[in-house]
Amino acid sequence: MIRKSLVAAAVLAGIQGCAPVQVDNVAGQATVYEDPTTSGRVQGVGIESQDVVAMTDQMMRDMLANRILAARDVPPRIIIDNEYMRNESSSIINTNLLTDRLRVELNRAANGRLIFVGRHYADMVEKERALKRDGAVDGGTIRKTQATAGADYRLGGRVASLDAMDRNTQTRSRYHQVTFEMVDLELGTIVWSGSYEMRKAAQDNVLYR
Amino acid sequence: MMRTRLMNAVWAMGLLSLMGGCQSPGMSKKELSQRLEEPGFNTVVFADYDLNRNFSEGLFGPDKVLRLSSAGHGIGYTDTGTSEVWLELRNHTDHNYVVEARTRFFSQQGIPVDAKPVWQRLPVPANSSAVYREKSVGTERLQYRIEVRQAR
Repeated sequence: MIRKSLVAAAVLAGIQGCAPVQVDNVAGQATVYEDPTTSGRVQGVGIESQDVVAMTDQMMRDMLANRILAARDVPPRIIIDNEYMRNESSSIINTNLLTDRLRVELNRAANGRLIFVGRHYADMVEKERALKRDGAVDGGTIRKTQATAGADYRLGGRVASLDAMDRNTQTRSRYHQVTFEMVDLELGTIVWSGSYEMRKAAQDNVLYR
Repeated sequence: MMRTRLMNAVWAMGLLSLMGGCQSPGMSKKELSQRLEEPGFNTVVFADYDLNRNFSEGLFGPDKVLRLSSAGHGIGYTDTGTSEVWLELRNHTDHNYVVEARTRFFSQQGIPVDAKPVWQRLPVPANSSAVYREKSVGTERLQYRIEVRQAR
Protein backbone atom coordinates (compact mmCIF):
# COMPACT_ATOMS: atom_id res chain seq x y z
CA MET A 1 0.00 0.00 0.00
CA ILE A 2 2.80 2.35 1.02
CA ARG A 3 4.79 1.35 -2.02
CA LYS A 4 1.85 2.16 -4.33
CA SER A 5 1.48 5.58 -2.74
CA LEU A 6 5.16 6.31 -3.13
CA VAL A 7 5.04 5.33 -6.82
CA ALA A 8 1.99 7.54 -7.40
CA ALA A 9 3.70 10.47 -5.69
CA ALA A 10 6.83 9.98 -7.77
CA VAL A 11 4.79 9.84 -11.01
CA LEU A 12 2.94 13.03 -10.05
CA ALA A 13 6.19 14.78 -9.19
CA GLY A 14 7.56 13.67 -12.54
CA ILE A 15 4.57 15.05 -14.39
CA GLN A 16 4.85 18.33 -12.48
CA GLY A 17 8.52 18.51 -13.29
CA CYS A 18 7.83 18.06 -17.00
CA ALA A 19 5.21 20.84 -17.13
CA PRO A 20 6.70 23.90 -18.89
CA VAL A 21 6.50 27.39 -17.42
CA GLN A 22 3.26 28.94 -18.52
CA VAL A 23 3.23 32.52 -19.75
CA ASP A 24 -0.13 34.32 -19.63
CA ASN A 25 0.34 36.11 -22.93
CA VAL A 26 -2.89 38.11 -22.80
CA ALA A 27 -2.86 41.87 -23.09
CA GLY A 28 -3.64 43.44 -19.72
CA GLN A 29 -5.44 46.66 -19.01
CA ALA A 30 -3.14 49.33 -20.35
CA THR A 31 -2.64 52.55 -18.44
CA VAL A 32 -4.16 55.42 -20.35
CA TYR A 33 -3.86 59.16 -19.98
CA GLU A 34 -7.17 60.95 -19.64
CA ASP A 35 -8.11 64.58 -20.08
CA PRO A 36 -8.40 66.01 -16.54
CA THR A 37 -10.84 68.66 -17.73
CA THR A 38 -13.54 66.17 -18.68
CA SER A 39 -15.16 63.09 -17.13
CA GLY A 40 -12.99 59.99 -17.03
CA ARG A 41 -13.68 56.26 -17.06
CA VAL A 42 -14.05 56.10 -13.29
CA GLN A 43 -16.90 58.28 -12.17
CA GLY A 44 -18.68 58.60 -8.88
CA VAL A 45 -20.60 61.19 -6.90
CA GLY A 46 -17.56 62.89 -5.37
CA ILE A 47 -15.53 65.88 -6.50
CA GLU A 48 -13.43 64.88 -9.49
CA SER A 49 -10.69 66.46 -11.58
CA GLN A 50 -13.10 68.07 -14.05
CA ASP A 51 -14.96 69.69 -11.16
CA VAL A 52 -11.74 71.05 -9.64
CA VAL A 53 -10.70 72.49 -12.99
CA ALA A 54 -14.14 73.94 -13.78
CA MET A 55 -14.72 75.56 -10.40
CA THR A 56 -11.25 77.09 -10.03
CA ASP A 57 -11.38 78.37 -13.61
CA GLN A 58 -14.75 80.01 -12.96
CA MET A 59 -13.54 81.60 -9.70
CA MET A 60 -10.36 82.88 -11.34
CA ARG A 61 -12.25 84.62 -14.15
CA ASP A 62 -14.77 86.05 -11.70
CA MET A 63 -12.10 87.49 -9.38
CA LEU A 64 -10.39 89.21 -12.31
CA ALA A 65 -13.70 90.90 -13.15
CA ASN A 66 -14.08 92.27 -9.62
CA ARG A 67 -13.32 95.98 -9.39
CA ILE A 68 -12.14 95.91 -5.75
CA LEU A 69 -9.63 93.17 -6.45
CA ALA A 70 -8.40 93.66 -9.98
CA ALA A 71 -8.78 97.35 -10.86
CA ARG A 72 -6.80 99.07 -8.14
CA ASP A 73 -3.95 101.46 -8.98
CA VAL A 74 -1.79 99.64 -6.43
CA PRO A 75 -2.26 95.89 -6.88
CA PRO A 76 -3.58 94.31 -3.67
CA ARG A 77 -1.64 91.63 -1.83
CA ILE A 78 -3.55 88.40 -1.57
CA ILE A 79 -3.10 85.13 0.28
CA ILE A 80 -4.66 82.07 -1.31
CA ASP A 81 -3.85 78.91 0.61
CA ASN A 82 -5.49 76.01 2.36
CA GLU A 83 -5.46 77.50 5.87
CA TYR A 84 -9.08 78.68 5.88
CA MET A 85 -10.55 76.30 3.29
CA ARG A 86 -12.63 73.73 5.16
CA ASN A 87 -13.97 70.44 3.90
CA GLU A 88 -17.21 69.73 5.73
CA SER A 89 -18.61 67.48 3.01
CA SER A 90 -18.91 63.71 2.92
CA SER A 91 -16.50 63.66 -0.04
CA ILE A 92 -12.83 63.01 0.45
CA ILE A 93 -11.06 65.93 -1.16
CA ASN A 94 -7.68 67.47 -0.53
CA THR A 95 -8.64 71.13 -0.52
CA ASN A 96 -5.09 72.03 -1.58
CA LEU A 97 -6.22 70.91 -5.04
CA LEU A 98 -8.66 73.81 -5.08
CA THR A 99 -6.50 76.52 -3.54
CA ASP A 100 -3.28 75.57 -5.32
CA ARG A 101 -4.86 75.52 -8.76
CA LEU A 102 -6.73 78.74 -8.09
CA ARG A 103 -3.57 80.54 -6.91
CA VAL A 104 -1.40 79.28 -9.75
CA GLU A 105 -3.90 80.04 -12.53
CA LEU A 106 -4.83 83.39 -11.03
CA ASN A 107 -1.20 84.41 -10.63
CA ARG A 108 -0.49 83.52 -14.27
CA ALA A 109 -3.59 85.27 -15.57
CA ALA A 110 -3.43 88.37 -13.34
CA ASN A 111 -0.08 89.37 -14.80
CA GLY A 112 0.68 91.88 -12.04
CA ARG A 113 -2.88 93.03 -11.33
CA LEU A 114 -2.79 91.02 -8.08
CA ILE A 115 0.24 90.27 -5.90
CA PHE A 116 0.31 86.91 -4.13
CA VAL A 117 1.86 86.46 -0.72
CA GLY A 118 3.29 82.98 -0.23
CA ARG A 119 2.37 82.69 3.44
CA HIS A 120 2.61 78.90 3.24
CA TYR A 121 6.30 79.45 2.49
CA ALA A 122 6.77 81.87 5.42
CA ASP A 123 9.05 79.45 7.26
CA MET A 124 11.33 79.15 4.23
CA VAL A 125 11.57 82.93 3.88
CA GLU A 126 12.23 83.53 7.58
CA LYS A 127 15.08 81.00 7.59
CA GLU A 128 16.81 82.72 4.67
CA ARG A 129 16.27 86.17 6.18
CA ALA A 130 17.82 84.99 9.43
CA LEU A 131 20.88 83.65 7.60
CA LYS A 132 21.26 86.99 5.79
CA ARG A 133 20.87 89.04 8.98
CA ASP A 134 23.40 86.82 10.79
CA GLY A 135 25.91 87.33 8.03
CA ALA A 136 26.09 83.65 7.24
CA VAL A 137 25.14 84.50 3.65
CA ASP A 138 25.24 87.80 1.77
CA GLY A 139 22.22 90.00 1.15
CA GLY A 140 21.28 88.65 -2.29
CA THR A 141 20.79 90.88 -5.31
CA ILE A 142 17.22 92.10 -5.09
CA ARG A 143 16.62 94.29 -2.02
CA LYS A 144 16.38 94.34 1.75
CA THR A 145 13.11 95.00 3.53
CA GLN A 146 12.24 95.60 7.16
CA ALA A 147 9.70 92.82 7.11
CA THR A 148 8.01 90.38 4.77
CA ALA A 149 4.83 91.42 2.94
CA GLY A 150 1.60 91.81 4.84
CA ALA A 151 -1.55 90.87 2.97
CA ASP A 152 -4.68 92.88 2.17
CA TYR A 153 -7.00 89.96 1.46
CA ARG A 154 -7.10 86.25 2.19
CA LEU A 155 -9.20 83.47 0.72
CA GLY A 156 -11.51 81.44 2.90
CA GLY A 157 -14.15 78.93 1.97
CA ARG A 158 -15.98 75.73 2.61
CA VAL A 159 -16.93 72.50 0.85
CA ALA A 160 -20.32 71.23 2.03
CA SER A 161 -22.52 68.39 0.81
CA LEU A 162 -25.95 66.83 1.10
CA ASP A 163 -26.38 63.10 0.45
CA ALA A 164 -29.43 61.11 -0.57
CA MET A 165 -29.85 57.43 -1.37
CA ASP A 166 -32.56 55.36 -3.03
CA ARG A 167 -32.47 52.08 -1.12
CA ASN A 168 -34.37 50.21 -3.83
CA THR A 169 -31.99 50.98 -6.67
CA GLN A 170 -28.92 51.73 -4.54
CA THR A 171 -28.58 54.98 -6.45
CA ARG A 172 -26.88 57.66 -4.41
CA SER A 173 -26.88 61.33 -5.11
CA ARG A 174 -24.67 64.03 -3.65
CA TYR A 175 -25.11 67.77 -3.83
CA HIS A 176 -21.94 69.80 -3.36
CA GLN A 177 -21.72 73.45 -2.57
CA VAL A 178 -18.25 74.95 -2.66
CA THR A 179 -17.92 78.55 -1.50
CA PHE A 180 -14.97 80.86 -1.95
CA GLU A 181 -14.73 84.22 -0.16
CA MET A 182 -12.12 86.92 -0.13
CA VAL A 183 -11.81 88.60 3.26
CA ASP A 184 -10.39 92.07 3.95
CA LEU A 185 -7.66 91.42 6.54
CA GLU A 186 -8.07 94.82 8.23
CA LEU A 187 -11.81 95.33 8.27
CA GLY A 188 -12.96 91.73 8.17
CA THR A 189 -15.41 92.47 5.37
CA ILE A 190 -15.96 90.07 2.48
CA VAL A 191 -15.06 91.84 -0.73
CA TRP A 192 -15.74 89.02 -3.18
CA SER A 193 -17.72 85.77 -3.05
CA GLY A 194 -18.14 82.91 -5.46
CA SER A 195 -19.86 79.57 -5.21
CA TYR A 196 -19.97 76.43 -7.29
CA GLU A 197 -22.82 73.95 -7.05
CA MET A 198 -23.28 70.50 -8.52
CA ARG A 199 -25.32 67.40 -7.90
CA LYS A 200 -24.28 63.96 -9.10
CA ALA A 201 -26.06 60.62 -8.98
CA ALA A 202 -24.50 57.18 -9.50
CA GLN A 203 -24.89 53.53 -8.68
CA ASP A 204 -21.23 52.70 -8.94
CA ASN A 205 -19.22 52.24 -5.82
CA VAL A 206 -16.22 54.46 -6.48
CA LEU A 207 -13.55 55.05 -3.83
CA TYR A 208 -11.82 58.43 -3.61
CA ARG A 209 -8.47 58.78 -1.86
CA MET B 1 -35.11 34.08 -67.06
CA MET B 2 -33.79 33.16 -63.62
CA ARG B 3 -30.22 33.58 -64.82
CA THR B 4 -30.93 37.09 -66.19
CA ARG B 5 -32.43 38.17 -62.86
CA LEU B 6 -29.39 36.86 -61.03
CA MET B 7 -27.06 38.74 -63.36
CA ASN B 8 -29.04 41.97 -62.87
CA ALA B 9 -28.81 41.57 -59.09
CA VAL B 10 -25.04 41.06 -59.29
CA TRP B 11 -24.70 44.19 -61.48
CA ALA B 12 -26.81 46.23 -59.06
CA MET B 13 -24.78 45.08 -56.08
CA GLY B 14 -21.54 45.96 -57.86
CA LEU B 15 -22.82 49.42 -58.73
CA LEU B 16 -23.96 50.04 -55.16
CA SER B 17 -20.64 48.95 -53.72
CA LEU B 18 -18.85 51.30 -56.12
CA MET B 19 -21.04 54.20 -55.03
CA GLY B 20 -20.42 53.36 -51.39
CA GLY B 21 -16.70 53.37 -51.99
CA CYS B 22 -16.80 57.06 -52.88
CA GLN B 23 -17.71 58.01 -49.29
CA SER B 24 -15.68 57.72 -46.14
CA PRO B 25 -16.91 54.88 -43.95
CA GLY B 26 -19.49 55.93 -41.37
CA MET B 27 -19.70 59.49 -42.65
CA SER B 28 -22.46 60.78 -44.85
CA LYS B 29 -21.94 63.53 -47.41
CA LYS B 30 -24.20 65.84 -45.43
CA GLU B 31 -22.21 65.44 -42.23
CA LEU B 32 -18.99 66.00 -44.13
CA SER B 33 -20.11 69.40 -45.35
CA GLN B 34 -20.82 70.54 -41.78
CA ARG B 35 -17.53 69.16 -40.51
CA LEU B 36 -15.60 71.23 -43.03
CA GLU B 37 -17.45 74.51 -42.47
CA GLU B 38 -15.27 77.44 -41.39
CA PRO B 39 -16.30 78.23 -37.79
CA GLY B 40 -15.37 81.92 -38.01
CA PHE B 41 -15.26 84.35 -35.08
CA ASN B 42 -18.00 85.58 -32.75
CA THR B 43 -19.90 82.38 -33.46
CA VAL B 44 -21.49 79.43 -31.68
CA VAL B 45 -20.40 75.96 -32.80
CA PHE B 46 -22.32 72.84 -31.86
CA ALA B 47 -19.48 70.38 -31.41
CA ASP B 48 -22.09 67.66 -30.93
CA TYR B 49 -23.94 67.26 -34.24
CA ASP B 50 -26.74 65.47 -32.42
CA LEU B 51 -27.73 68.79 -30.90
CA ASN B 52 -27.86 70.85 -34.05
CA ARG B 53 -27.19 69.60 -37.53
CA ASN B 54 -27.28 71.24 -40.97
CA PHE B 55 -28.03 69.33 -44.16
CA SER B 56 -26.72 71.03 -47.26
CA GLU B 57 -26.93 68.26 -49.88
CA GLY B 58 -29.89 66.21 -48.75
CA LEU B 59 -32.27 65.17 -51.53
CA PHE B 60 -35.27 64.72 -49.29
CA GLY B 61 -36.37 65.97 -45.87
CA PRO B 62 -35.47 69.09 -43.91
CA ASP B 63 -32.17 70.90 -44.28
CA LYS B 64 -31.78 71.45 -40.55
CA VAL B 65 -32.45 69.14 -37.60
CA LEU B 66 -32.02 70.52 -34.11
CA ARG B 67 -32.67 69.88 -30.47
CA LEU B 68 -30.96 72.96 -29.10
CA SER B 69 -30.29 76.24 -30.82
CA SER B 70 -28.69 79.57 -30.08
CA ALA B 71 -31.32 82.21 -29.35
CA GLY B 72 -28.66 84.90 -29.23
CA HIS B 73 -25.08 85.54 -28.24
CA GLY B 74 -22.77 88.48 -27.76
CA ILE B 75 -19.89 90.06 -25.90
CA GLY B 76 -19.76 92.75 -23.23
CA TYR B 77 -17.18 94.13 -20.83
CA THR B 78 -16.85 93.93 -17.05
CA ASP B 79 -15.90 96.74 -14.62
CA THR B 80 -12.24 95.75 -14.83
CA GLY B 81 -12.21 95.70 -18.64
CA THR B 82 -12.23 91.94 -19.13
CA SER B 83 -14.60 90.56 -21.78
CA GLU B 84 -17.75 88.61 -20.97
CA VAL B 85 -19.52 86.53 -23.60
CA TRP B 86 -23.06 85.29 -23.26
CA LEU B 87 -25.10 82.73 -25.10
CA GLU B 88 -28.79 81.99 -24.73
CA LEU B 89 -29.47 78.35 -25.52
CA ARG B 90 -33.01 77.28 -26.38
CA ASN B 91 -34.19 73.73 -25.84
CA HIS B 92 -36.82 72.81 -28.45
CA THR B 93 -37.52 69.34 -27.02
CA ASP B 94 -39.67 67.91 -24.23
CA HIS B 95 -36.55 66.63 -22.45
CA ASN B 96 -34.18 68.28 -20.01
CA TYR B 97 -30.65 68.59 -21.31
CA VAL B 98 -27.33 69.13 -19.59
CA VAL B 99 -24.79 70.55 -21.98
CA GLU B 100 -21.21 71.71 -21.70
CA ALA B 101 -19.97 74.94 -23.19
CA ARG B 102 -16.59 76.62 -23.44
CA THR B 103 -15.27 79.78 -25.03
CA ARG B 104 -12.07 80.29 -26.89
CA PHE B 105 -10.97 83.91 -27.12
CA PHE B 106 -9.06 85.34 -30.08
CA SER B 107 -7.27 88.62 -30.62
CA GLN B 108 -8.53 90.97 -33.34
CA GLN B 109 -5.94 89.37 -35.61
CA GLY B 110 -7.46 85.95 -35.00
CA ILE B 111 -4.71 84.64 -32.74
CA PRO B 112 -5.85 82.39 -29.88
CA VAL B 113 -5.16 84.25 -26.64
CA ASP B 114 -6.32 84.29 -23.02
CA ALA B 115 -6.58 81.39 -20.54
CA LYS B 116 -7.16 77.85 -21.73
CA PRO B 117 -10.90 77.27 -22.27
CA VAL B 118 -12.61 74.96 -19.79
CA TRP B 119 -15.95 73.17 -20.24
CA GLN B 120 -18.71 74.49 -17.97
CA ARG B 121 -21.90 72.52 -17.38
CA LEU B 122 -25.22 74.14 -18.10
CA PRO B 123 -28.67 72.60 -17.56
CA VAL B 124 -31.21 73.57 -20.22
CA PRO B 125 -34.76 72.66 -19.11
CA ALA B 126 -37.25 71.17 -21.58
CA ASN B 127 -38.95 73.73 -23.84
CA SER B 128 -37.07 76.47 -22.09
CA SER B 129 -33.81 78.33 -22.30
CA ALA B 130 -30.66 78.91 -20.28
CA VAL B 131 -27.89 81.47 -20.41
CA TYR B 132 -24.19 80.61 -20.47
CA ARG B 133 -21.66 83.25 -19.52
CA GLU B 134 -17.89 83.22 -19.62
CA LYS B 135 -15.31 85.88 -18.83
CA SER B 136 -11.87 86.42 -20.27
CA VAL B 137 -8.86 87.07 -18.06
CA GLY B 138 -7.25 89.73 -20.26
CA THR B 139 -8.43 93.29 -20.82
CA GLU B 140 -7.75 93.63 -24.55
CA ARG B 141 -10.61 93.63 -27.06
CA LEU B 142 -11.30 90.05 -28.11
CA GLN B 143 -13.26 87.89 -30.51
CA TYR B 144 -14.81 84.63 -29.36
CA ARG B 145 -15.98 81.22 -30.42
CA ILE B 146 -18.35 79.29 -28.16
CA GLU B 147 -18.48 75.49 -28.41
CA VAL B 148 -21.46 73.49 -27.13
CA ARG B 149 -21.70 69.74 -26.65
CA GLN B 150 -23.74 67.29 -24.59
CA ALA B 151 -22.44 66.78 -21.06
CA ARG B 152 -20.19 63.75 -20.61
